Amino acid sequence: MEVCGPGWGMFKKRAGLSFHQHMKLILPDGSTRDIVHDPAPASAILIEAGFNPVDVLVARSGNLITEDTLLEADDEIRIIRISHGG
Amino acid sequence: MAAERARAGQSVPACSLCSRPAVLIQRERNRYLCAPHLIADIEERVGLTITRENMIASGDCIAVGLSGGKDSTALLLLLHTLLESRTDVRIVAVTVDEGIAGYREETVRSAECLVRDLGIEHYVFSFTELFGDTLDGILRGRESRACSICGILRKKALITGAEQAGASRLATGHNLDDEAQSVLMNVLRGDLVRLARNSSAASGGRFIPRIKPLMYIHEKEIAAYLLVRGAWADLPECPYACHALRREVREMLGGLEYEFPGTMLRLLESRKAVTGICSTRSAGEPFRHCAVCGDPCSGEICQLCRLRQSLNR
Repeated sequence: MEVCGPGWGMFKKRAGLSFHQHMKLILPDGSTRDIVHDPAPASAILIEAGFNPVDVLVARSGNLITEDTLLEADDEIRIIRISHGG
Repeated sequence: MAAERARAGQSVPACSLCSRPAVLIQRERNRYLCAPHLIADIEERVGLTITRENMIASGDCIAVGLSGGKDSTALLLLLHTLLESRTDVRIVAVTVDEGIAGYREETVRSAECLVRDLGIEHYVFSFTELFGDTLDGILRGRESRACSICGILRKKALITGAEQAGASRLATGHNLDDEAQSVLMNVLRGDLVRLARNSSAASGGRFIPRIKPLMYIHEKEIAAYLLVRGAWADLPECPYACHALRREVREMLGGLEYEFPGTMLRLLESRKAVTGICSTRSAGEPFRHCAVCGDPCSGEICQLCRLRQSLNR
């Protein structure tokens, strides 16, 4: 996973270095992170972002999805931490 | 593009029981469930646990320990659904306000909204009322012991609340993850007495039996159940949780559960086996009473009195 830098994704694409695609993560604290990544299961993205898939739920476009759902270009993913309250 | 694909349901695994998109995988059962089948599955398994473990009998008044967090919210919703047609069983809710600034106010409000919506009798007790101070006040300078101190006081407060509500059982929202963590923590502490203790066993009226109807449901399943039922509220995590051994155990077990699905369930089953063996060996042992307060306990002095002595309160 790479965090987007200004113009970096475009440079890599023009140079034929990668077919990575843009995705947006909404983290449990409400902050967002733009990433570039090959299409991959949600679990892979979660692990690379530092989350154990057992500890979180994932929603895409407002709908809960399973951790083996394939994430692709322009997906906006909300990560919901399940441990709270109590 | 992503929205169109999501609408079309592409790249989303289908439910194992119908063609709707799955919202959760049950990894140890290798099964995908859509929202309606997830709700049905959770309700069925909780109902089975209640029946199999003889958790509820005719004439019972069940006091549900309702913090307002996700587990107790799910427990109350589930019991309300499962017992709706039972005229011989009554449910009341007991909330304990420990006095944790910036945290508990929000979950108590959430609890109050829920009982109002469901029309359930609600009892609220505070640590200040029962122990003379808020948890924040009691813990000043002892933050590293927060969970063990709070656990003892909260247990006493819940039992007092359940007794005052006239309850015959106390239901708590402990889930499979909580129970598996407790098993491992007791092993790590070498506390085999606590490992083998069965808090739901009948005690000839000395204790209010505690029941844990969610003990076979993963925390993640509970969160998903609340989300698909539209009952999920984003609430803060307890500010003292970072001090607990439980957090370390939780992270370790979470990692093991991901790598080896079913780890938590197997831990719980191992405790059941140990409890079974120990109950036959200790049958006939007399109950003890605390030398200070007279409450039933397993040692000479109960945990609450030992805590009070250590806190000089």
